[in-house]
Amino acid sequence: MRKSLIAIAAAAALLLSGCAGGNGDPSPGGPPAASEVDRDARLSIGTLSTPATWDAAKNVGGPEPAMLRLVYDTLIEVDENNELVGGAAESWTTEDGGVSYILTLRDDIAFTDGAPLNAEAVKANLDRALTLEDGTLRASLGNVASVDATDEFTVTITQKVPDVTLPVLLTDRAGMVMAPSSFASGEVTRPVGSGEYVWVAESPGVSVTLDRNPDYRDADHVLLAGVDIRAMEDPVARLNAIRTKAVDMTFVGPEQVDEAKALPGISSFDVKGRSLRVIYVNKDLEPAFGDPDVRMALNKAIDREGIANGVLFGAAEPAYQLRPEGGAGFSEAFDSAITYDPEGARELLQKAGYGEGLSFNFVTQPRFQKEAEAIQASYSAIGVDMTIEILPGAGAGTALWYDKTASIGMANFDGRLDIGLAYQTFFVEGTAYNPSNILDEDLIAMIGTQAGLVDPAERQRMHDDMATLIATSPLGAWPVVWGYEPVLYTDEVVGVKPFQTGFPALKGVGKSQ
Amino acid sequence: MSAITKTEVIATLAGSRPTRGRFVQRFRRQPIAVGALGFLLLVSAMALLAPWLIPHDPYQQDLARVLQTPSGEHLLGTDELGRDVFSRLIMGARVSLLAALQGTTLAIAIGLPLGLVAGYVRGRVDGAIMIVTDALMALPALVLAMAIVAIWGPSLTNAMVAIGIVTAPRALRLVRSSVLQIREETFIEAARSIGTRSIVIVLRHVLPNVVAPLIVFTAILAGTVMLMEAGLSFLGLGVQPPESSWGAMLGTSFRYISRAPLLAIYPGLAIALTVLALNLVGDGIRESIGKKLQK
Amino acid sequence: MLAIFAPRLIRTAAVFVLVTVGIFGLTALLPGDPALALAGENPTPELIASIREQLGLDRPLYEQYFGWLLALFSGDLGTSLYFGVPVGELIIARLPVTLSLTLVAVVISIVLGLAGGMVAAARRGTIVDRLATVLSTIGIATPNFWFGMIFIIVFAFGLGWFPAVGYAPLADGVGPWLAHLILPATALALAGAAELMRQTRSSMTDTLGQDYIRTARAQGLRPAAIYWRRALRNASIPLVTVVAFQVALLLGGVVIVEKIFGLPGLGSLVIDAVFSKDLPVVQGVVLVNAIIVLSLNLLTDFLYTLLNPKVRHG
Repeated sequence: MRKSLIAIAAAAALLLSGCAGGNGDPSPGGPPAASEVDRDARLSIGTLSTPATWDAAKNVGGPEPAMLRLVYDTLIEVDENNELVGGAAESWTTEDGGVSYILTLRDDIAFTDGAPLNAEAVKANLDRALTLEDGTLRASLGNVASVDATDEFTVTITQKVPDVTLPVLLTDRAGMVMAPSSFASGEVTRPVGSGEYVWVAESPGVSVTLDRNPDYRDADHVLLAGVDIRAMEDPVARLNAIRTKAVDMTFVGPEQVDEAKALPGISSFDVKGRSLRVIYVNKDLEPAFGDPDVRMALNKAIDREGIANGVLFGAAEPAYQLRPEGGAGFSEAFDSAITYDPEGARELLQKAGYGEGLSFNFVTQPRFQKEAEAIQASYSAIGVDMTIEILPGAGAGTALWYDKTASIGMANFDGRLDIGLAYQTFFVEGTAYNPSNILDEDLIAMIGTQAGLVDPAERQRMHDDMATLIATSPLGAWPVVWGYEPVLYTDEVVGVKPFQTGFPALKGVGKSQ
Repeated sequence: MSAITKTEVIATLAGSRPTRGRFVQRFRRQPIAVGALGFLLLVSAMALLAPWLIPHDPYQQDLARVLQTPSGEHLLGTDELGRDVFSRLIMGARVSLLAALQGTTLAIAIGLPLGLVAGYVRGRVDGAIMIVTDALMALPALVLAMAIVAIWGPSLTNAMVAIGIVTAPRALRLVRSSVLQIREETFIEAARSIGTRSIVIVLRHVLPNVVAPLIVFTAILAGTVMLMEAGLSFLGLGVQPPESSWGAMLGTSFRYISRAPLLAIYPGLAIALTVLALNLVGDGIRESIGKKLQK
Repeated sequence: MLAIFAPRLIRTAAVFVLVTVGIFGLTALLPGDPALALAGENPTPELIASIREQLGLDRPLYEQYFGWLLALFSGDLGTSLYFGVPVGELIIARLPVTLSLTLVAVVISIVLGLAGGMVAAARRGTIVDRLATVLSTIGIATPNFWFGMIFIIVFAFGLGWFPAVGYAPLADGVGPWLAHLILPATALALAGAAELMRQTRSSMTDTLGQDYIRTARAQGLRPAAIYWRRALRNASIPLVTVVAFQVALLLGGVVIVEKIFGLPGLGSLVIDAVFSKDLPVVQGVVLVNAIIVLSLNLLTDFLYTLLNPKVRHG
């Protein structure tokens, strides 16, 4: 039993392994010596926003779970090498090929309200996430049939069909363990967890103050006295903030990378796989998009290299699959039929009967205006007339996925925690991100199968096939470019590890004397 | 009243309309205003002749040559997509000027008739109109415009309609206060005394005397409208790509402010100079219309 | 005095009611379903329906209006759809920032405007006067956010004298508070200063020419005394009006400047709220703005009455 446990754990770990992406200048490896660190120092960080809600079961994800992880433990964690390691659960195993997972919890964790983090608490959290009326995790946990506290510190999660991505889900909101007292009344007004930091105060949308959690299970490893979060929506503002050392650590976008890396006394590493620019199409609103030749033509007309180098100043890479180079699940052996070929695109359009031209309205977020303009010019060159509509806020997403008023547009994709989940998000039937259900039966079958493949090599091969498929005949979601998001920190900050899960990831971070 | 004959009344009425000859004379004596008018005509000509003036296609991108500094080929350098800044600046003139015209015209179209009515009719009608006007003016103009554009969707037309609506109260107030002054003048009394219908009085006698201060105001208003359009476009709520106005160019340049600060200078300067010219022309007109009518 | 004032108060109240109808009507028309933003990545129609019900969006409009109005009078401005906290809390948290900014801007504006106006009036017709007029016209003509951007380039990036972004609360010390506000406040103040300078110049010029000034001169009073005592006091009436007008304008003008300088005030709050369709926040901020403006107008009327002896006794 032990052997298979280790094997499974290793396999699961390998599931997400792979180099952590070519990084900038990460801090020298290894945790800083205790003597180097000022344990009374606070870290001030600039983030995109403050969490709209600290309730893990209602949080909408994106950049926010990273902040929630500062105050909550997750059952499983991801380290800087994208490997799964134990969090609140010290180990996990599946004995039935991924149908059910047995998690063994640590026995030494307590919430800041004194209650123990045990199987009952975990079950309470998961049951709530599964049943909460306005919960946001119900879809992603849709495959969970039941959660049982089989022992004081043992939890068994049983799924409906085999799915090896469950452990990965438990590294995010689904695996966050909130103190049951904090949601006893229904609403979580202030977060109570067992994480490295404790929530102290907050000005919504502006700032959050966190202090070190003195009862944290590995208290010695928390090197900061506290974290002060400042919300700055504009990456220019964040760059200015770190330039003037108003914050110690922050992240910026591709436009700021050159300058950021040239700043004296500032180090950085790139987070590569959290911002994919994706084009979504809806064939019900524009029948042309129902034609595979048209879809391929529109893909071939895009100069992905040009966008990566020109619009995003090289802090980006062209995307033909759902992972950046070096990311977990990236297919090395990969043949993309999509190349930058305006002539070929024009021919395909002709063949499909749109030689006279095609026109449509393209929606996107303000963030991607430049990418949209570049695409507009490329399409204009092959006789496709595109008007751009910049919709602020959640407008573009709403128009594409919910109201379904836009036939084509570009929105952000954060990569999802596992490549299989990414495929699921885009290509199965009925998902919001596939608003007109452009489907490929083979792909759907493969998505189903890969969820149950325990052997990582076998799973990767299937992912290779899937990557080839979507690059040979594009469906309803087309990857365009990955924009890098460099994390910047001053030279006073030590112990920084190049976590790829998003910003902020502060395990092991401290400030020098 | 009976001591004044009808002939005298008509003579007075005839003399009540402002003369054009003296106005032009006075205007010409102000070098600054004349210079400003010249500048405006130049910019307008540039906007009209834009398609023939631009050295490059303002929409032509060159992703390999983004954010370049001025060179022989690109007088003012290239923007974030490799497009020629000089050409875009000239094309931007069209959009900015047209937008200012649209917004100002709408504001006057709403404010003038309502102001005339409120000022001349007075009483409850005036009271009602003024309460609505005051309510509108209590709301922050830019925010209101933003909200309106958010309702209708971002586009230059929507933005200009919103700005027109939001600035109409100022036009209304100006017209109304002019009318209030004018209606007390003797020639108005005279006209009423010979039984002229109200609407004729308003159109024949009140309106021409409102025109002078209104023109001054319009010049200034055009400047304000231009600044508001710049604000909305800066936020992405006005002109949509690939079209560009000076305000939109300013907005985009903010993203690249540390990388290419010059990009922020050109459109800002263009806006400032144009609004400046409008204000100076307005001042010049005010100086030229004669002291008597200025009160 | 009250006799003069009562009708004005009633009128202001009427205007205020109209303002509330306008605010409510406007935001009620804002399309886009806020429920969708709150529903997360994979919403189901049931989920959206339940959120709408919670937010009270399924009730008829007039019911929503009166509910809102009633809550308003008990001080409840609603709850932010995006942040989930009471709008009142958000506004109170952000008000100090905008007020600080406005205050510093008004001070700068008054200092520059008065000084400039007095200098120009004293040196009427000379090149100093001309220059002042030109400068003031430039100040009015230029978008305040452009000034802001230039200041960032020159003073924050170039010279490094001031921070480019953020806000430091007064509690942390006057130095940092001022340092963060100088650039944005100056950008905001220039247009007002220009306007004030023109008004000051013209009203001082008028006043200086008046008989009693000549009399004072004839009596041998020194020029400085003339200025400070008589001219200023008489010129103060229109100035009060202009200052109040500028303050009211500033509240609207801060929006973009706050965004550029990353100041967490009401301006950036309302921009974000409009973009994320957070109706209660938009309503709340616009309402607060309206209340301030209307109060300022009343105050100005009051001061004007107080300062102008003709109105008082006439």
